[in-house]
Amino acid sequence: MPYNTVIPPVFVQDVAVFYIVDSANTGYLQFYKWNSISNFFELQSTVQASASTVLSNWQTTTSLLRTTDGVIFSEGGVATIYYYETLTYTWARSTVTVSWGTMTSYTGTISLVDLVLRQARDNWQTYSTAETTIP
Amino acid sequence: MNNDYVFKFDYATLVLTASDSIAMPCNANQVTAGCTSERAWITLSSEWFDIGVNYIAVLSPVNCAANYQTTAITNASVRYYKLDTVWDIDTNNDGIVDSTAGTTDTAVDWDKGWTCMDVPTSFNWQANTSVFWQAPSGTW
Repeated sequence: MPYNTVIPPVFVQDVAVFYIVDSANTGYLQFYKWNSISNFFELQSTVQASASTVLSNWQTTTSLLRTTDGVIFSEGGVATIYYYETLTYTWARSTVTVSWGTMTSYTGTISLVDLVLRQARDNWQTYSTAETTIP
Repeated sequence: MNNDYVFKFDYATLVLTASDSIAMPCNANQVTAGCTSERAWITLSSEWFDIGVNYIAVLSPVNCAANYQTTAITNASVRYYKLDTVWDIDTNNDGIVDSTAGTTDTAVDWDKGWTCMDVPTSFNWQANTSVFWQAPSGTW
């Protein structure tokens, strides 16, 4: 099996983002945009997301989260957390910083290399029926 | 997350800001010895962890009533933490809730917010299917 999709795809408005690892153990983000004329997700861009080859336990150490205008990507073994913009379809990468806020006692004691991020669930009970509302 | 804590982060404009930390439960022995030295209840790994609207849930390989180095492990369990839990305040780390210090000396409840439910070792699902598929009257 040449490619594995283990990390659930993330949807941001009309964009779907998949994280795949190929047979060479390199991880890629694939950005799909909804084609409203033909009614299918159209591949727009594929970018290498892993810094090098992925860890053997990448299935459980990779984080792919949705924000209102892009995705947050973090991989095990890499301290830098990245953000990929999807709102204007540039797929531009930026670096996400971690602020410990009132939890400053943890600054420097938590290894970002090992930090796994999980998405908090949307409160569907407060969803609006207006399709323009971003949860 | 790591093996001792779940952190809550808020995200805005390229910054993840930690807003809360949730300690993973220890039993009395582990509190004495330190959670990291005798961790036997929960090994937090992302595949055993999920977040809901009101609760987080962690699968644990240890049943709720298991006592470290005393009882055998009988089955697995699911541990829930209510996200809006207000922790006991103990600013001087003496294990006594600050507002009760010197009067009633109420001990800090380290497991506050946590609920544990054992996962059944065996269950006759077929015989009980109707229980799960039949909506309670008037509630759905």
